[in-house]
Amino acid sequence: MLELHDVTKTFGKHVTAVANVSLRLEPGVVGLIGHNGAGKTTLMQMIATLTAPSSGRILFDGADVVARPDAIRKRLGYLPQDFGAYRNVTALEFMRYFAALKGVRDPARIRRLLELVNLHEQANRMASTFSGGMLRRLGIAQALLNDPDVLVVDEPTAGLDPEERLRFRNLLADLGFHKLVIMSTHIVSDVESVAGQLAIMRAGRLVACDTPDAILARARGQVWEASVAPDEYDALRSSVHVLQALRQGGRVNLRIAHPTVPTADAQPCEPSLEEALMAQRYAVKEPA
Amino acid sequence: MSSTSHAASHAAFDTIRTLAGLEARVRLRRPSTLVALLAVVALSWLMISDPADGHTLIAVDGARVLYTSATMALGSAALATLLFPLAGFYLLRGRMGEDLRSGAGAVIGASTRGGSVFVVGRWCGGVAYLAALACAFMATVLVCHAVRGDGPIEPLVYLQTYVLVLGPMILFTAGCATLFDAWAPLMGKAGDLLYFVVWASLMGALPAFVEGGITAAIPLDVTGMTAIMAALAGHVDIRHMMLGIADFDAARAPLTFPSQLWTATLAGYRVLSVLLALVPLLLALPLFHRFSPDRVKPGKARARRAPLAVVDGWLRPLSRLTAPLFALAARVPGTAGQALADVALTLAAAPSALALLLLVQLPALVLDTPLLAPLALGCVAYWGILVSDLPTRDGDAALSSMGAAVPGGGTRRYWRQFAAACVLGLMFTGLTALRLAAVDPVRALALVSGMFALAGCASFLGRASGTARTFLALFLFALYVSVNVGSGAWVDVVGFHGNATAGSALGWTVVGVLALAAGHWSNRRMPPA
Repeated sequence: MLELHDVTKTFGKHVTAVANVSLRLEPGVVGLIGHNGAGKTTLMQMIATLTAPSSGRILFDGADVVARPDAIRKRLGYLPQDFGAYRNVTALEFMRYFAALKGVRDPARIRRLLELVNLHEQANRMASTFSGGMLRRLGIAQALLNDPDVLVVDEPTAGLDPEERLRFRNLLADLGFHKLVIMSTHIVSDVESVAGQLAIMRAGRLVACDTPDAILARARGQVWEASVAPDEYDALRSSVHVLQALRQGGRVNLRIAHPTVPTADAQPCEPSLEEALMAQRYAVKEPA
Repeated sequence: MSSTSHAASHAAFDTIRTLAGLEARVRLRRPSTLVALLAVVALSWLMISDPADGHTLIAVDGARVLYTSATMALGSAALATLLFPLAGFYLLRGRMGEDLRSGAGAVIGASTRGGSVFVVGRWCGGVAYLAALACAFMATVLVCHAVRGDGPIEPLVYLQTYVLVLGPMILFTAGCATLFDAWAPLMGKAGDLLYFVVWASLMGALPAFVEGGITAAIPLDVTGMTAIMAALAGHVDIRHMMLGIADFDAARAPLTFPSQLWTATLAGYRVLSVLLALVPLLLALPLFHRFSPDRVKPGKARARRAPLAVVDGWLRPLSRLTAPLFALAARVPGTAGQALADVALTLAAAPSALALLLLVQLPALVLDTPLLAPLALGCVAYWGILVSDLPTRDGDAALSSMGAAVPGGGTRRYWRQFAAACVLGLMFTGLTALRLAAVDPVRALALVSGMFALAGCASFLGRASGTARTFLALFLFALYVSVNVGSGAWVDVVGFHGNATAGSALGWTVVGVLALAAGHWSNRRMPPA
């Protein structure tokens, strides 16, 4: 469905935001994970045709979207990380505007989408007065207007309360049954329950692209539990990567990412996805 | 105690210096500064005409005044002091709005520094920025002097004239920009328009100052124009003086201004003008909102205070009329449909425009032909203000990338927004143009070509400078000149006076095409988000 071949994006001579990323993506939810500055947003902007790659190709159903960006734009829904609303425009007018820009002729669809994101009762309220969570829901409704085959959402849960996050995750999971949903985040809990595939970026490079189970499997034997005295902890944390430290009584209970046994009494433990990703970074040798 | 207060004032001074330096740097890095610099260069070369072309900077009773340092400095400073207060204000304006949008305002409001320190720091930054522009202007005039001058370059003559004429004006302009940002009711478009009225009133008062006794008026005139007139009054008959691209009789012997035109009394008056120029700043200090959420918000609170927003609030039910237009836009394919969507959004966001649009159609049908020109001018004025922020609307609302991910992308957005401005222009003046075409086709042509050029300039300036104010300032100024100058085909941009010719209309069309091309080039070079 969507293929990236050696995609690179440089800014000036010295900044490489994305380096030689190759991916092949099919319908489903793909979690794009990485630290701030890892290149997630730039990669998503290239997929959304907002900026062209410096080199490499992006193909959508075989069509080169760099040469013919409208090939994907007609079937694309895009929700950027930060966005606002036009002043003096209601949510309904906002939706009508984007529907017209995308050539969506069915007015009932606007109503349905506002209901889907639970904004139908606020349809005639000025969008600029919406809270962060409401605005983000309006954004996702906008992204779904043209019933897109590819939905690109950048940090979609930022600023949402726990209930809204849960609702949002379920919505994306439903969409992922038939569409390709690319969701970037650095909050692992946002993707662990919905993503069928995780693409992990670091310093502009794609360091892994696999299922959550495979990533967990790789991390087994690299995440450890140990209980140490406070002075031992001070000495230990300079040599290993501590994932969690919890003081209990006179001891400190630790979870550690390390390729080998970090202390004599450390025991291997079942990693969470977040710990597995940290282990990917700190416990596994750097990819060549 | 004394050392404590000394330390506090030292810290305040340090903060002001840091704020001013930062402010000037932030402004100097902006694309709008480059546009302003290019405008300054173009302006200086345009108004200091080559006498071989039959025009000169200053002519008195048909005689050319030689291009000595005194002439060049006085003439260029006089023209600059008319334009800088307008352009400078719009260049400086809007920084506190940015603070609000970015969230920096809340941080500033919660800081331990006093509001006065912040306001004065901002004002100093504005003064430094305008002074830098004035220096750039002076540098281009010096180059002009080197190329076209009739005497040696005397730097001190330039410096003295620029400091005395432009100094108080810069302080006043920066003070107004600070006041209009610091006081919540003046933030936004209503403040922009109010300042234009202030500027137009200043310009309108100048002839009264000159006729009603120059001496008493000099300290009251922050622009320095009356001081210039007073300086020249002892040497030439200022009632027959023309300034800027002035025609002259080559057969008449040229005149020469003495190097030292400024007397100690006149310089003293200009120092008094400085005190008047500081009034807006002094008003800004107690009125500063300090980013209090009770007084300013980046959304509804500020919009509610703006008078136009209040009117739009009353007329909000009218915006329902745009629903069929949105539906039509969705059915029309390609750029045309998207342009219609932009028209619909503009009208939905400004129901007052919709009301005016409905109101002007009947007069456009029934008024006598001589009354059509004022009607068209009023429509053009409203239309220009309405569409000034159309090219920057997505950026202002942080919707650049969302709007560029639709079919056509960022490239088509530029063209569809231009097309939307043209369509809106035709909606306001189409009937008038049609009726004018029946009796005076050239005038109708001038109206349409003028609006085309203005729409092109709005698109280009909006895209290149990233703010609507660059176009708004130039548009209001052009309108002011166009209404007040009763002769000249080129000045009659939209055919208000009936002086426009087919040639001038064609010329404005070419200006529009060039502006569009420059905007397209600029649009392709800039990232959409």
